[in-house]
Amino acid sequence: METLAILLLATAFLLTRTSRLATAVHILLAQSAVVAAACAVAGWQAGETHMFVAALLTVVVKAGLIPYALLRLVRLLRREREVNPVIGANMTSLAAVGAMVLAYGLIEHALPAVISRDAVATAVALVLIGLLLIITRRQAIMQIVGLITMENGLYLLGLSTTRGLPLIIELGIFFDVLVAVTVMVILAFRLKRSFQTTDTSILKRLKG
Amino acid sequence: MEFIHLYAAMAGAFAAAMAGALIFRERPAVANWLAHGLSAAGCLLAVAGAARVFAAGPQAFGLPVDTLFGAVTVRADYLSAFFLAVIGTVGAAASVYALAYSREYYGRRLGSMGLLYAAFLLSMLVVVTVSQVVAFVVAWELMTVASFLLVAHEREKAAASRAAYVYFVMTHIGTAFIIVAFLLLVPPGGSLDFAALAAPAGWLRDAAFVCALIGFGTKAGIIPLHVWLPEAHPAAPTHVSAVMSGVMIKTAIYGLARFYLEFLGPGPLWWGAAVLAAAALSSVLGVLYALMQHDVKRLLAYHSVENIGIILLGVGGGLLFASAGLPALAGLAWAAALFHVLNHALFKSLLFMGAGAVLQAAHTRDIEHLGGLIRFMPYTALFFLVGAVAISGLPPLNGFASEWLTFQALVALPAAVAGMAGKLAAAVLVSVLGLTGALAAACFVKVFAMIFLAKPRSEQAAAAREASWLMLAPMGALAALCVALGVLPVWLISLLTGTVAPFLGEGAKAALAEGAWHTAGFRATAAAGAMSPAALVALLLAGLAAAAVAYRAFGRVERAAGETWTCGIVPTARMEYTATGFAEPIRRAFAAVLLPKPDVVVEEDPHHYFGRRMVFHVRITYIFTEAVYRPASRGAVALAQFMKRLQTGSVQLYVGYILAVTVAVLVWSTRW
Repeated sequence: METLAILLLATAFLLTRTSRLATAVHILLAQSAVVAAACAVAGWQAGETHMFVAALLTVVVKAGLIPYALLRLVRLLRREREVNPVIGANMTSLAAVGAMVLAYGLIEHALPAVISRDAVATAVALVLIGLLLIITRRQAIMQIVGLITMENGLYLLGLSTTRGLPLIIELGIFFDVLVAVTVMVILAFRLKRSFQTTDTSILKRLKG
Repeated sequence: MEFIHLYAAMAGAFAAAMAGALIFRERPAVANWLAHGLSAAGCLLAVAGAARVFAAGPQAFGLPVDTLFGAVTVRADYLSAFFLAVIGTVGAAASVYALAYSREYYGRRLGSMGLLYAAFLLSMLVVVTVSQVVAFVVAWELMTVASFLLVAHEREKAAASRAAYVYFVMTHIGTAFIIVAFLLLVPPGGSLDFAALAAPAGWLRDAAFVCALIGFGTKAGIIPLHVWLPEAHPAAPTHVSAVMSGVMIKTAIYGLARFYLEFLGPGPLWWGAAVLAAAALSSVLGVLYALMQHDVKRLLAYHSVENIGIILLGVGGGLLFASAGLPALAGLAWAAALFHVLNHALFKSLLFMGAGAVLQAAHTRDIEHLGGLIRFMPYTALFFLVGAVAISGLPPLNGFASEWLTFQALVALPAAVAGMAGKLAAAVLVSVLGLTGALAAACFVKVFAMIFLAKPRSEQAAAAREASWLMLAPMGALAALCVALGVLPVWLISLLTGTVAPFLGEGAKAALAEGAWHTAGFRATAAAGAMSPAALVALLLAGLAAAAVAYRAFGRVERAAGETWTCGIVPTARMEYTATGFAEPIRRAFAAVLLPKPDVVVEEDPHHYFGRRMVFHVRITYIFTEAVYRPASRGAVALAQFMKRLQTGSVQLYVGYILAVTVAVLVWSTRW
């Protein structure tokens, strides 16, 4: 479990460094796969069979459908890349490190001596880094990636604190993510069509 | 018939009216007759229900609905029944009037107007009978929404939608206060039924008093919460204005009576003093502003502010007497207030209907463009005159009866407040009421003269024709009621004492019944200050008869036809006295309050000695609008401008706020 947590943090850290959209989506795919593995491991440790179903769904939705849709979109956006982030890659990485420190500090304070300390802290760090990505990146795709990272963090949090949520709730969460990403992909596509770019800073003009 | 059946029939009639208006919205004539005819029937059923309550004692029944907030009970005690009767009477008259008046609106969304009108009347009738907090607030808001949409009915006019907006904002603030006032009374974990409400102890009780005063005061239109009233009332179709000004603002008096008589009980002296101060301010400023208006409906709306002030003089007196432990005098003051509620409802709706008839005939509300209508519209003029005399508080009409009763209560103020303060307050308030009546009389001399006397000041006024009998009949009925209540007020006063006595304790009932104080104010044989309206009328008639006899015997009229000498110019309507000119002395006398800003424009002409055109404009300053509302709105805009800096339009920044808050909350929640 610790290994998987380290892998997750590594993917999140890599996301803060990349400026190519396709690379970001591939890293996201890897991250989701690790989350699925974590889910399976947790299910195996707890002896809950429905966790394997959840892990399978994670693979299908987060490592399959969503990256597929995003990659298709990225292929259309050949000339797009994160050229001018709000905060540069180095500073973002530093902030990500700060987020990890903050997450561990929080867990130490709020839940001292919790068994799955690494998993919970990783989950919080993932949520924070996801938010950080949304804030610092101007590309719509990068913001979607940030959102899925947050979502992965939340999923991991649920996994590590509850020994697995009921299957119906998990199904609900997956459906939710799928719909959200579908809408966002459509919106990004329309953004490209209307403004010839998926740079969201153009949306500032909407302000009255 | 039992009360419950009458109530159900009333609700059914209104429901049918709404459905009819909706279904036949494409056929305005059918929609008109269904909506307004069935509304009139519903209002008459409400009056019958009220009569049933007065005959058979208070009635109550539970509604067969189980809400989230507990059972809903319809409870009609004498207070509810009184307001049912007031709303029913005025509503029935206005509905009949609407049958003819809404012909104006054929093809102009008459369906929605009829639907909303029926909903408006029904919600008012429900407000005064329902006996549960949530149901009351829902009905109250339904009333607000329906009247808001009716004010905005002529939404093509910018003034109407603006007025509706101001109305909506103000009444929403008021409703917030009403909800707070109710919640302060709900016992912890208790039921929301009115019967279970109990006054909290300590300062919370004062808070409930203040919240009720602000909340209901907004709806009643007391100064300084009145700003919506002179905008909204003129903007609505006239029959709606009549209902709004005549009875809707009285539902606020009903709310105040419920709170101050039933829920809160006698309070400290300052409660009464606060209400009296607001009342004095509203009555004097209301009538002064009314005098300055040229738009007849706007003028009538300001008179509503004035009359709410007069009603509140009675309410404030009642509070003072109750806190001093004088239930009999408190009963007198409350009865005066309720009597004026009924009287104002009658003559104000009558006057609005008259104004509507004039508006329909001459197509203008500006009295400077009217004149001479008494020849074209004699009946409208007569009924309007009755209303004008009544609102001016002249005997023997009903306005005098209730104002006289209010005088009686105010004169007795020193009994409640010891020392110089009480005597001074009594003197000041009595003179305030007198001043108000005098100014109202001046105002209606102006209105009646400008509309009905002299020569028409415009072509459209000269082309006016008498209103339809469907409009004249309700006006005539209301005028007859005004006369009847003025000449024979005593039976109604004993009804009203019976209405308020149950709230003032067992002692009050006995004192009111045995002392029969109400006859003291009206019986010719009683002590000083007593009078009998019936005797007065008899004297008046005797005097008139004597004058007629004398005229027959000695009068000789010599008719001599000739042209009026006007320095060689043909006399025209432009030479007539204007409303602005008539109000000028009062504007001068009260310049310190009204702060008039005259503006004379002289168009120079090469010929110095004749043919100069002068344009005279005078604007008065509405001190509360200038001192309270304008700074408040400027402040709100400035605050919004400041907050706009947060709104950069950058998605990243918005999410950044979320991140900052999340981290802050996380850190704070772990007590780091």
